[in-house]
Formats: sequence, C-alpha cells, structure tokens
Amino acid sequence: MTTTNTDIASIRKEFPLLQRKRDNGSPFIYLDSAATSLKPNCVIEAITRTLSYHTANVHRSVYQLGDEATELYEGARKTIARFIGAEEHEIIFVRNTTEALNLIARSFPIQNRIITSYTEHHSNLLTWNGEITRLQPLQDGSLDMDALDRELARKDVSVVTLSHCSNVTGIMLNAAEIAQRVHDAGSIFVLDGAQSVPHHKIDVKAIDCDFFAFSGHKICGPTGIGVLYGKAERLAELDWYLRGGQTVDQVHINSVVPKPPPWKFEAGTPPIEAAVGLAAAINFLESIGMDNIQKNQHALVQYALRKIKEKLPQIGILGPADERRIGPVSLQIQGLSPHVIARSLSDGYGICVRSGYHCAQPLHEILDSPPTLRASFYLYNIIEEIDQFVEALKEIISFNEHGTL
Amino acid sequence: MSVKSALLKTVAMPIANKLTSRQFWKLYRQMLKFDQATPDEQHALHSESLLAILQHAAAEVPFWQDQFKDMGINPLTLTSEQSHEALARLPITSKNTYKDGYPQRVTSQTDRKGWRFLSSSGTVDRLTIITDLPKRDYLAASLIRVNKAVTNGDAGIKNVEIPPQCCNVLCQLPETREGFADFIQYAGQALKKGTLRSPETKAKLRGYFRQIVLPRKTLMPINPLPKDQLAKELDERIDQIAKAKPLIIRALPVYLLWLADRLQQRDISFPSLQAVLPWGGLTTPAMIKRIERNFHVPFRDVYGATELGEIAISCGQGKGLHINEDLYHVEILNNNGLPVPPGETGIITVTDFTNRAMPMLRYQLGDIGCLIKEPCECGKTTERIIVRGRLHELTHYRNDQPVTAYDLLEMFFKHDSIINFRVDEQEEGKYSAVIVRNTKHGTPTDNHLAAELQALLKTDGMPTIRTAEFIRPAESGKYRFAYPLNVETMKP
Repeated sequence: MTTTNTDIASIRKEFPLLQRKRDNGSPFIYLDSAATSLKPNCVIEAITRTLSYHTANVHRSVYQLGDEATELYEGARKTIARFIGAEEHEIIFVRNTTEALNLIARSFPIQNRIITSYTEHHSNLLTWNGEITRLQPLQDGSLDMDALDRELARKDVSVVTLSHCSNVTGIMLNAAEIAQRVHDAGSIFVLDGAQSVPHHKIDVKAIDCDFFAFSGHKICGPTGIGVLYGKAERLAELDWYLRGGQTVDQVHINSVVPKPPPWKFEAGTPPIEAAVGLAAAINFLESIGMDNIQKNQHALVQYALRKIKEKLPQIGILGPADERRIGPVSLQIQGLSPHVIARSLSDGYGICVRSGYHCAQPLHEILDSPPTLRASFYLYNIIEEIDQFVEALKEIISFNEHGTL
Repeated sequence: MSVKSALLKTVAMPIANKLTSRQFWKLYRQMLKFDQATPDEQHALHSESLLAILQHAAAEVPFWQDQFKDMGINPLTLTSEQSHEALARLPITSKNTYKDGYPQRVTSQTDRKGWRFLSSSGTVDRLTIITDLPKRDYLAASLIRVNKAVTNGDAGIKNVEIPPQCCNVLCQLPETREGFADFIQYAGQALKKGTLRSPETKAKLRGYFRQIVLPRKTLMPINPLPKDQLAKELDERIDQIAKAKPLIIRALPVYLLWLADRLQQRDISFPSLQAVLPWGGLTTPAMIKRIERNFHVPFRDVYGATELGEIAISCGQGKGLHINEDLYHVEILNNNGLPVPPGETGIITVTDFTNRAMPMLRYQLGDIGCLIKEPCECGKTTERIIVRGRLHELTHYRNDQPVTAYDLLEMFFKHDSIINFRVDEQEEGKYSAVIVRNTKHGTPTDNHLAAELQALLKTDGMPTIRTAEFIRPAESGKYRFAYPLNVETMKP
C-alpha cells in the first residue's frame, strides 16, 4: 500500500479529532504530534472493548474473564515485540519513555562513566546519576562523533545513552553505527526511541542496541503506556526496580523468588487496556506500512522546510534544514515570543503547535537559541495543513512591527 | 528626588520624546494634567475619547463595522455627549469575541506600523491582543502614573514584582536587563557593528530604555508549601527583595500577606520601601490591615489587566479605586447588559480608549464589582470602583445580596492565623472550607470559623472546616477562593 491522496483521506477519517470543528466551524490543524499523537478509532474502540467486556486482573484470575484479560495483555506484548523485532520476554511495559530510562538508570549496575549529550530531552538528561559526560553538539545540533570516539577510547564508559531522533532538531542518529562503536569499547548502548518509533521501522536486533525505550501515546496509542526493550542478557543484569505483587514467583517468611523479566519489572496491576490500545495502534500503523509512514513523514518535513525557507526567509530553523532532518521543525522567531505566536495560531486559525524549550533547555542554551516554535507532523497530516500553517505564521508576523522581526 | 531621577525627567525623557517615536513621557504629562483638571474638563475629555474610539472602531475594524451597522449607528454623526448612548447599544464582548475574530476581524485595517503582540501571563487561558506603539506608550505612562501616585516620584522608581506565574522551563524568565550601563554597552556595540539603526537594535534599545525609566526586577512566584518550607522560601524572597532595594513591591495579594506575616515573625522591614501594590488578585480591608501593619508602608490597590492596562487606583483615603477616566469607560452591568445602580454589584465592563490597533469595547474581563459615584474624601470626583472578585467565585445570593470572593476573603483573612483558604459547595447549599493556618493550633477554632461562614452564607447546615498544609493554586498561579457548584450569574 502506498500513501496516495485517497489513502490519506481515508486515514484522516479514522481520527475523530480531525472531524471536530471549532466554534467558528473550521477544523483543527494538529501539528504537535511530537508531543503526542492523535488517536484513531480502532485504538479508542480496542480500549472501550477491553474495558466493556474483558475487565479482570491479569495473570492470576482463574476464570474466563481473567484468561481473556491475560491473553489480551500478553498478546499486546507479542505485537509490540514483533513491531520492533524483539522477543516478547524482552518487552517491559512501563508508563512512558521517561520511566523506561529511569528504570535502567536506577537498576543497571553502572560501574563507570555515562556518556550522553546536551541535545537530549530532559528525560534522558536528568535521569542518570554518577559520573556523566555530556557531549556538546555540533553547530547544527548533530552529534559530534569524533567527541564520542574520544570518550569511548578512554575505555572507562559503562553506558552511552542517546536520543535516536532529537525532538528539537529532528536529526536521526545512525544508531547501528554508534552501537558498534559503543560495543567495541565494551560499553552498553541505550537508545531513546520516543521520536523515532512513530516514523521509522525499528529493528532493535539490526541496530544492536542494548536498551530501547519509547512511549505509546506518540504512535497513536493511549497515554500511560510505554515500552522498555532490553536484550535478554541485559534484563537479567537489572536489579529489581519496583517490588510488589506480580513481580514475584514465591514469597516466604524468609525468602523471595522474583519472577523472570519482563514480569519482574511490572509491579502491581498493569495498564491492561492501555497495552491493548497500544497493540491496536501498532496494528493500525502496520496496516498502513511503516515504510509508507516514513516516506510520508520525509515528504512532509522536506515540504515544510522548503515552504518556510521560501515564504519566511527571515525565520531561523534550529538544526539542519536539509535531508538529514526527519523529525520536528523548530523555528526561531527573533523578537516574538513563541508562546504568543502559538496562542495566535490557535485563536485565529485553530493550528496547534508547540512553543518553548520542548524539554530540551540546555540544547537551546548551547545553540544560543531563544525558545522556539515547533511544528511536528504525522501520518494524518497533509501538505495543505503545512501551507495553512506557513500562511498563518506569515500573517501573524505581519501584525508585528509591520512585518519586521 | 534622586539625581538619576532628576536627570531622567529633565534631560533623558524630553530628548527621547523629541528624537524617538516613544511618547510615553508626553502621555504621562497629559495624564497628570487630566488628574488635575476640573470635573467638567474631565467629563468632556472622557466623552471625546470615547467618541474617538467608537469612530475609529466603526471605520477601521471589520467586527465593529458589522456591529455598528447592525445597530444602525453612524458614529460619524454623533456628538461626544451622544457617545455613551451609542456605546450602550453595542454588544458586550468577552475573551471569546476577540479570539473568534482574531486577528483580521478584530484589528484595524489601517497601517500596522509598530504593532506588537501582548499576551496575558500564564500558559493557559491567555488572551493575546495586538497593540500599537501609542497603546504601549499609554501602558508605560500608566505605570509611571502609578509610581507617581504611590511614591510621588515618577521615572526610575525601582519595582520588585512577584507575579503568580513566571515560566522559566517552558519559556524564559522576563527581562533581567540592568538598565543604563547595559543600554550604553549595547548601543556602543551596535555602533561598532554598524547596526545601530537596525529594527532589532532599536527594539532592544527601547527595551533597555524602558528598564531605565521603569526599572523592575521579577522574582519567581512563591510556591505553596508546608509551613517550614514556605518560611524558607519566603526568606529567600525577602533576601532578594532586600538586595534589590525597591521603592515598590508588586505581588499577588496572598504573597503579600505571607511575606507580611514572615516580616513580622522575623521583625524586619525594607528601609527603601514606600508602597506595596497588588499584582492581580483581590484585596479587602482586613488583608490591607495585615499587609500595612507588617510592611510598615501603605498598600495602594490597583485594578488592571494585562490586555487593558491600569484601569483604576486607590487614593489611599476613600473607599474603592479611582477609575482612570481619561483612558477607560467602566460600566457595571447586570446579566442582561443593563446598568445596575451605584453601590450594587454587577459585571465589570470596560471600554479601552487607547488601543487603536485592536479596539476593545464593552469588554467583560470576568470580574464583578460596584461603582461609587459620589466625590471621594481625597477631593477627586472621578468615579470609583470596588472590585468584588471573579464572576465564577460568586458563591450564591443571600437575601438577594451576592456573596462574593471579597466577602469570603474579608471573613477568613481578618484572622491573623489564616494564610489561605478555599470554600467548596459540596451539595446544593452545603459548604465546606479548607484552611491553611500559620500556627499549629491557632484561634479561631474550626467551630468558630464554621459559625462565621454559616452566618455569611446564611445556610441551614453548618459548613465543615478542614485544615490543610497548603492549597494548590489554579493553573494561572492565582488562587481561586470559592468553588460554587453552579456558577451564578448576576441577577437581571
């Protein structure tokens, strides 16, 4: 299946929010999918169906409904494993990417240095404890590979943890290449996939990362469910994180036998319906085809960059404005608060974009950038929406100081 | 008067007025002239200004063009005396009116020279408006007018502000420019680079100059915390204020209350301070008493909004706040849009004479209050307003009299031991209150407070009182004091 205009129209029909009208009768234009994606009918229905007809606790309820709930929940795990090329026992359900990264940071036996970068989202920047080296990005916001090599050459690195795709500069790493260098240096590689999973076919085995984390709500799934993939041998090294029901096989007066991963790390009653919703979201994405989604995303990003350069040459773009960019487009609009623009875009045109530092304040500081306005796209966006965004932005700027910035 | 202030007034401001497009000093002088004019002169100017904005809106703004047409009003044929009658026929507007038509339909179709966006603070429920340079000059001039009213100085009066929300993680802290030295340094650098005349340099220099004329330091909001931690946070703010040596502190009224209590506990004061002012929010006589007692300076109430400016200020003598009638027309209306008699509570409705880029006529901010028409003890004859809180905090009617946030604030904050509260309507006519005390076992007792609240609300059942360590503010950072089940509207 390729994403023709007809396909996009039928995809858009699946998203109730795109059918919603504002008070003045115009539709919303949603360009904030890097923050969270819209939810299709099939996800909403899967969650409703689970809550309506299959409510029971998982794993221990010895009756039909309990069996069904367990089947749905563990079935979701299988779907997710298939989606990223992992084994199902390598998939741990967590709340979101942030929790996944915290789980590794708190539970993995880190003996030596941790390497990360200043381009990270706060959730991969604030999470780690110990001796941390943060790599400065190059001027365009990309990773300084030479600096990484220099650090790895010291042979005292336990963990390298990086964002697969930046939520500000939209640059995607060559993760497989980095994984090889990291492993050659005897370190482990953690990949924050929050911004890459929505648009790319991920194969964790091909990348050969040790851990991979992502959130369900950015791939059309519900909030409150995220995934931590870990190689089986790495999961075995993780210390018990949250203890309690569901994580143990046996509890005696003087001893405890924990379950094996992944259940060892899923304490308490899990978000059953959210896991089922996430699986439905994955099935939906796979029905469209991740290759198609990737091509569509690339086309949208390149179109937006071209259009912005053409219509608004005075606006700065944080990060590269070329083929390397596959993620969100962050705009520097000197002399105008991005919040004011975001509010104006919302009030006047129903356009939803992000404004501020996007949980990457140090990156803005290092690149000497003011807070930015970020537009991000997903499979349901169309170029007409980008046209409207650029025209609206142009019009708003024309209201400021006679169009000067 | 300090040497710096004198130099600003006699040299810098007149030169800036002559050489740049900024006219706030001239406007400030006009405001002073208005304040000293006779009542007849004031009335005449008020009506002329109202007519001028009506004519401008009717001629230039699509939304208002339609409204005037629908009402069959041609402002060009009106006299200034007829302007009030014409205004009364126009529809009431709210935030949604301006959001719906934003930006094309609610802005002037004339030249957009000098236009800029202005947004109320906070990340939610903001209203973004568009201002022209004169409007921004009016806003700056109004602040100087406030300085003059409360300190008798005007330019260069140091302010410390503690707003309810000041976002640093999502956006940036407000400007922290230091003023004169930075102005000279930046101008020098621009001269060297040859960019002195660029729009960006001019805008920056304007910002620096504003900081010289209206120096302000913004401090982070005070977080709601358990007692010991709150004391620590208050001490930090007190240290920051002491270091800044301000003449004026402007803060959310509950912050002023907390700071006042802490100043008393530590038996300290700010020697440079001349007045404290509110940064939004509501104050009542009981609060003012506590604030003035512990800050050792007068509290001067100001009523304003980011999107409009400083609408009214108290003179410190009579009741209520004097409306700046050279800049605004204020109506107090009932639910049907009809005026309520003086002294009766209704919805505050403001017409701004000064924003020609985006005229705001008969705009309801969501506040309620009443008008006082008789002359004030201070000798001024301009109308006064008593602000009684937000419409959504209007708890209910008691014998046809509304019980407002003002009444609740007065009831709770007259007790020195209470530093915050919230009243919830649990079921129809059944109320509970959460209170925060600054001592573990203070007076009055919970029973006493319950009886007072019952007497105020005139309910059948006794309200329940619960003590909490702290109360969380609303998303805007401001505190909402009453949560009625159904938001009351003003009676028709």
